[in-house]
Amino acid sequence: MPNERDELPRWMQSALRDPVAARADHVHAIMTLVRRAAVADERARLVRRRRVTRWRALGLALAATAAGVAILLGSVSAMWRSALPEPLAASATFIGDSIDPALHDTFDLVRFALRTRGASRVVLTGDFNGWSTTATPMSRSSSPNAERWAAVVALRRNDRRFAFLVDGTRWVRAPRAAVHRDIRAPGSDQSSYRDST
Amino acid sequence: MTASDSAIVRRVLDGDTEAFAVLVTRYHPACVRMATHVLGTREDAEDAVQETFLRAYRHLGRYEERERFTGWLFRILVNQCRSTLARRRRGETHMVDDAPELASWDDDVAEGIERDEMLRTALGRLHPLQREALLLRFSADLSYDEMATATGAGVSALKMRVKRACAQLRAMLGESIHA
Repeated sequence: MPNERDELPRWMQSALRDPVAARADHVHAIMTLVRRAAVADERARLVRRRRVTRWRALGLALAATAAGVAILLGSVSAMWRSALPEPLAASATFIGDSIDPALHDTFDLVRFALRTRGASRVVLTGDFNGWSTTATPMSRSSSPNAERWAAVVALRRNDRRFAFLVDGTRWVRAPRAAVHRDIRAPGSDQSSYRDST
Repeated sequence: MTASDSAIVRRVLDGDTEAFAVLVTRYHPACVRMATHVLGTREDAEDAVQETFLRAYRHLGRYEERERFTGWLFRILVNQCRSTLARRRRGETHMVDDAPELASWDDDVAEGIERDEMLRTALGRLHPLQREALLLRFSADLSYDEMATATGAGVSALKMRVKRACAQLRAMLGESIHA
């Protein structure tokens, strides 16, 4: 079987391998173009690097600005929220009956509670104590983060109107507590009603 | 000791542009020979080779060391030659368009033409892909694996192209294998 090299006559193989003369400075001309390309590439690289640096600086500036704006908005939002009145939640919970043998009368024991923030003194007032602003101070919950004030009072049937006085200046109505008899669920010993203002 | 192609490529990629001259000097003769046989004119061949080395330099980062540099470089050259031939087909005359039909050559005419010129003309009559394969094999002296890298064709197909090109050349030039 003939070798593949032998499939082409030797003179053809030889002719195909004969050197072909290019112009004398061809290699030099190629290298000149290559050097120019290298310089152009370097310039392009520098331009790209500068552009990247510029965009990076711009990005950092924008990020810093955005962070500043976010902080500012957060601060303003916090200040705005702190300036608004705190939400209040009042409740009255029937906790049982009490009989006064001397008066031959029955009282309802009701636990009043008010959740408010930043108060230093809360007083429960109403028909039951002749609307005294000092007679029934509420006690603050002992838990660290609590903003809850509470008081347990014995009410007669006709004691129907109540209110909380916060720091001696702010009145908070307790309308639901005023109908404490109606909030008792049928058949249960305790029931409660909560209201938010 | 001669530095390997891959070592020179690494030097160039590291910024030593002048090292590329070693590769140009090393492969310039084979590239010019191949391009001249494919394109037929020295001017076109020089342009193609020049563009080939320039492209090779610009895209050197894409060269992967697992393939032979020769195959990679000739792939660029082959594409460059194909582009030149395609441009010619669109508007310019082919170098052998005016050549007489080989079948009509009589012995007197044949005897009047130098054998190299006959070979050149016969090469121009080959199918472009067969001529390309034949020249990569016998002019550039590439292995079939390198030829596969250079052309994108499979080794079997390349072997077949070379075999057919050899047969056609022999038929056209009235040569036998052992002539």
